[in-house]
Amino acid sequence: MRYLYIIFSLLVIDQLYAQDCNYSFFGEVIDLHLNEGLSGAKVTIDNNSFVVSNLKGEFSIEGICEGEHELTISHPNCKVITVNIDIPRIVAKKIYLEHHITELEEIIVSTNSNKKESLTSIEDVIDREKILDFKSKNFGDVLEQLSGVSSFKMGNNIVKPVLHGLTGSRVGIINNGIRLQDNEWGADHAPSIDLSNIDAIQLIKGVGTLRYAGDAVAGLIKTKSSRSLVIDSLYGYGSIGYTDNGKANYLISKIKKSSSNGNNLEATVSLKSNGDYESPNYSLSNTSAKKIATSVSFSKNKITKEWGARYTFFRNDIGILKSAHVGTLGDLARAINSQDPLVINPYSREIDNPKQENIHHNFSFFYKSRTTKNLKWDFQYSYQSNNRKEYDLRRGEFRDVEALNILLQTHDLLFDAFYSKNKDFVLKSGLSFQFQDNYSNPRTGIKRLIPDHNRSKFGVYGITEYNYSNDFKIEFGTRFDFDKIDAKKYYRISDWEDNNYNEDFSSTIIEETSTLKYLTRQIRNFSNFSSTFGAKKILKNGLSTTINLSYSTRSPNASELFSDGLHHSLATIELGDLRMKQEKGLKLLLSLEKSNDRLNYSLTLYNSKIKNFIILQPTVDGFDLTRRGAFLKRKYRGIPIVHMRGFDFDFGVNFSRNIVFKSSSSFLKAFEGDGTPLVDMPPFNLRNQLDFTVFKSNPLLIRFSTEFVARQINFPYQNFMYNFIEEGVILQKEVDISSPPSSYNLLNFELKKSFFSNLDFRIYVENIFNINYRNYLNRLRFFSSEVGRISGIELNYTF
Amino acid sequence: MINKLKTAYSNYALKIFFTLLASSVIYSCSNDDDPEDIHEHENITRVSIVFEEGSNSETVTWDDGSTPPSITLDVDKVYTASIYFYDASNPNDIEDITPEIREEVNEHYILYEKAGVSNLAITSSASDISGSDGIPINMVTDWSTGGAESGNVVVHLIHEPTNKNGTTRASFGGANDVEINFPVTIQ
Repeated sequence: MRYLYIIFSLLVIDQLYAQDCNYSFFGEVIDLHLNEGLSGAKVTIDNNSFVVSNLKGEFSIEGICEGEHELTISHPNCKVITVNIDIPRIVAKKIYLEHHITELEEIIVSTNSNKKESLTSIEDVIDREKILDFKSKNFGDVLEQLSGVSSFKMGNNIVKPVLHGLTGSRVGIINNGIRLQDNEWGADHAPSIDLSNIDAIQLIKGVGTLRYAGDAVAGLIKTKSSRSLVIDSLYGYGSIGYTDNGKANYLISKIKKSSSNGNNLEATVSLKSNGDYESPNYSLSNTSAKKIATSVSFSKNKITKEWGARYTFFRNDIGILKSAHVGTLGDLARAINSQDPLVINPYSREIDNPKQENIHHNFSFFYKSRTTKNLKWDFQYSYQSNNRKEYDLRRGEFRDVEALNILLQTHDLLFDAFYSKNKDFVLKSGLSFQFQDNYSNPRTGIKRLIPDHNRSKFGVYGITEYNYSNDFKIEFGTRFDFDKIDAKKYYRISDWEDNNYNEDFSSTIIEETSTLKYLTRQIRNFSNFSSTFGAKKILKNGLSTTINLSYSTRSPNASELFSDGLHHSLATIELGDLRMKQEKGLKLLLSLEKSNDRLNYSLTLYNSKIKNFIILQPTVDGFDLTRRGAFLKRKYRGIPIVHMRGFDFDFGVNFSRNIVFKSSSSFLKAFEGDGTPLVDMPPFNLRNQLDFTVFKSNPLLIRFSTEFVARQINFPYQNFMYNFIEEGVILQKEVDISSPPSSYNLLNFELKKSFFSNLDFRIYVENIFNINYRNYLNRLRFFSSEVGRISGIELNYTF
Repeated sequence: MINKLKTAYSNYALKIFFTLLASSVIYSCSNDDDPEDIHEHENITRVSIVFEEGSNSETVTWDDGSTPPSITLDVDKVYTASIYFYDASNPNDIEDITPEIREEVNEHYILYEKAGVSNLAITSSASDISGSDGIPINMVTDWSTGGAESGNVVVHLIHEPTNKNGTTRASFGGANDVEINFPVTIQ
C-alpha cells in the first residue's frame, strides 16, 4: 500500500511541475492610423527573448509555456506598449501602435508624403517652411504661391483668395475641420484667419470637398494646426521682423508642449503693425494697419481616443486708401482720369477713416474615437463670432460712428464616421448641423446693408473610396444640404414697387411703417444636392492620371438675396434680389502628375459650367447722372450660363541636392453663354523660383523668384460717359473702368542663414527694381499704383 | 459593418443632432423681436438755393431722383445765393443738414463750376462763413450776371477737400457728398 502512495505522489508532483511549453503565440502589430501592419516592431517576451514583426507586421512566438506572460512591443517613433497574455487562454492578439512623425525636426512636407484628402483628390499643398516664411503676411498672400490661386485685393491689407477665378462664398475655407464663417460675400471682406497657428494648408480643387461642403463650387482651402503627440517634447519659436516699406514690425511666437501621457498644450501669439505703404512715386496715404491674433489649445491623445479644445482670437484694424473714398460717380471718373491719387499726405501710422475693424473669435471642441479597428468617428462642436465694422467719412454726431456693424455668430456641429472593411475600401459618412445668427446693429444710423437673419443648415453625406487595384482607384460621393434662411427686412415702399415685389411677395409684409417702409419677413428654404466622382490611374515611372467630376449646388447668401444699401467702402449701392435662385455648377478636372528624383510636374485642366451664376452687375440706370450723380449702382443677377476653363501647370527640377528650381503657371478663360467675358478674372501668371542651398551644420539658402502677370485681354465693356468741365466747357468723355492694366514682372530675392543650430536670420527684398505697376484684381487700381519695393529682415529663434 | 455604423450613429450623432434641431426651432420661434426701424438723416436728398435780389426771392430745389430744375436769372444783376442741404428721404420728417455742415466748416467746401456762362461770376459773399484757415466755403455766394447766355453750373459739396485753393474740381481732392448739374439761363 505504501509503495502505491509514493508512486501516486510522484506522479502528481510530476504533473504539477511539468508545464506544457509547446504553445505557439501569433500576433500582429498594426499602425492605428494607417490600419496597416507595422514591420520591424520588436516584441520582447518577459524581458527575456524577443522577436521582430515581419513586413506585414506579423510575429509568432514558438515554444511558449502556459501561464501569464508580459509582452513589450516597441518601434521607432512609437510609444512602447506592454501587453499581458495568458496562455493558452489567449493564443493570438492584434496590437495597435500609434506610429507618428516627430515634430522636433524641421520636415519639409512634399506632396507625396502628405496624407491626401481622398484617394482621387487633385490637390496642392503648401509646405510648412513656406507657411513659416509667410507668417507675418496675410493668409491670402501665401495661397497665391499655388498655381490656380490668385488674390482679389483692396490694397495691401485686404487679400481674398481666388481659386480658378472664383472667390467669396464659392471658395470654402476649412480651419481644423470647421468652415470659416465671416461674411465672406463682401468684396472687401478678407478671411479672418492668421497664419501663425496654421501648420499645413491643402488646396482641394475637385473631389474631396463633400465632407465639408456641397457648395464649394471652386474648391476648398483646408488648414490644419499641429497634431497631438504622445511623447515628451517642448517645441516652439519666437520671431521678430521689420520691413522698410510701411515701417512694419511684427512679433510672432508659438509654444507647444506635449507629454507621454498624451497631454498637449499649444499657444501662439502674433502681433503686427505697419504705417502707410509707399508705391514707387508717392505715399499711399491711410494704408496703415494693425493686427493681433492669438490661440490656445489643449488636447489629450489616448491613442484609442482623443479629445481637445481650442480658442482663437483674431483682430485687425485696416486703413483704406484715402484717395479711394469716392462720394459720387464724378469722383470715380476724376480718379480714373488722374494717374496719381488725389490725396497724398506725408507718411503716418495713424489709421484714419475710412477704415475697417474686424474681430473674430472661435471656440471649438472635438472628440475622436479610434477604439474599433474598422470604424473611426469624429465629433466636433464649434462657435464662431465675427464682428465687422466699417468706418466712413461722416458728418456731425456720427463722425466717429461706424457705417456698418454686422455681428455673425455661428454654431457648428459635425459628426464624421470612417469605416474601412479592409485596406481597399473606405466608407466616409457624416452629419452636419449649423445655426447662424446675423445682427446688423442699428447704432450706425444707416440703412442696414444686410438684414437681421437666422440661418440653419443640415447636411448629410456619404463617400465611398475604393482601391480597385494597386494602380487604379475610384471614389464616389453624394451630399444633401438643407438650408433655411429667415430674415426680417425693411424695404422703402418706392423700392418695393420698383422691383414689382408686390406680385410675388405681398404676403411677406408684416406692417407698413410711418416712415414709408414695409417691414417684411422673408423665409427661404433650399435643398441642395451635390455629388463627386473621381478615378485615378497610376502608370509607369511615377506617372499618374486623375479625373474628377464634381457637381455642386450653392444657395444664394444673405447679400445676394437682401443687399440693400450703400456699401460705403466700395462706394457702391448694392441691391439683392428676393427672387434669386440657387447656383449649380459642374466641374470636370483632368490631371497628369509625375514625380521622380530629378523632375516632377503636375498639369491640371478644368472646365466648369455654372448655371445661374450670381454676380453683381451695374444696373441699367447705374450711371444715371440726372440723379445725384449717385454712386455706382449694382444689382445681383443670375447669369443663365457661365463657362470657366483653364489650366494649372507646376513643374520642378532638382538639379542637385543644392540647386532646386520650381515653376508654376495658370491661365483661365471665363465667359457667359453669349460670349461676354466675365469681369475681374485673373490673367495668365507665371512664377519661378530658384533655390541654392549650402548644407553645413548651419545651412544657407539663397533664393531668387520672379512673378509675371500678363495683361488680361478678356474683359467686359463697362465704361460710362461723364461730363467733365474743362476751361468752362462741358466735355463728355468716356470713363474707362474696364481696361485692365499692363503686364508686369517682379523680381524678388531672399537669403536665409542659420546660426548656432537654433537661430536663423532672413533677409528679403520683394520687387527689387521698384517696378511701378497696377494689378487688375486690386479694386484700388483706379486710384493708385501697387506698393513698390519691400525690404525686410527677420530673426527666428527655435527651441 | 452596418451594425457598427448604426451603433455609432444612434448612440451619439443622431441623439445630439435631433436635440439641437429641436432647440434651434425653439430658439428661432422665441427670437421674434422686430429689428429697429433706422431713421437715416445723413444722405443729402434735397438741395435748395435761394436767390435774393432786392426784394425778390426765388428758390430752386433739386430732389434726389429727379432732373435738376433750370436756374433763370436776369441780365446785369447781382443775386445773393444761399444754399441749403436736406435729408428728405422721409417726407414726414425732413432733416436740415445745413447747420451740421456749418459746424464742420473746416471739412467742407462748396464749388460752383461753370460751363458756357463766361459772363456769370460766382464769388463768395460778405456773409459767407470761413474755416480756421480763413478761406470762405461758398455757403453764401454772389452771382453777378452779365449779358444773355445759357450754360450749366455744377454744384459740388466737397467733403474733406485736400486744399481749398484749387480752380478745377480735381484740384480740390476730397469726395463729393452731392454733385448737381443745373442748367442756367441768363436773359
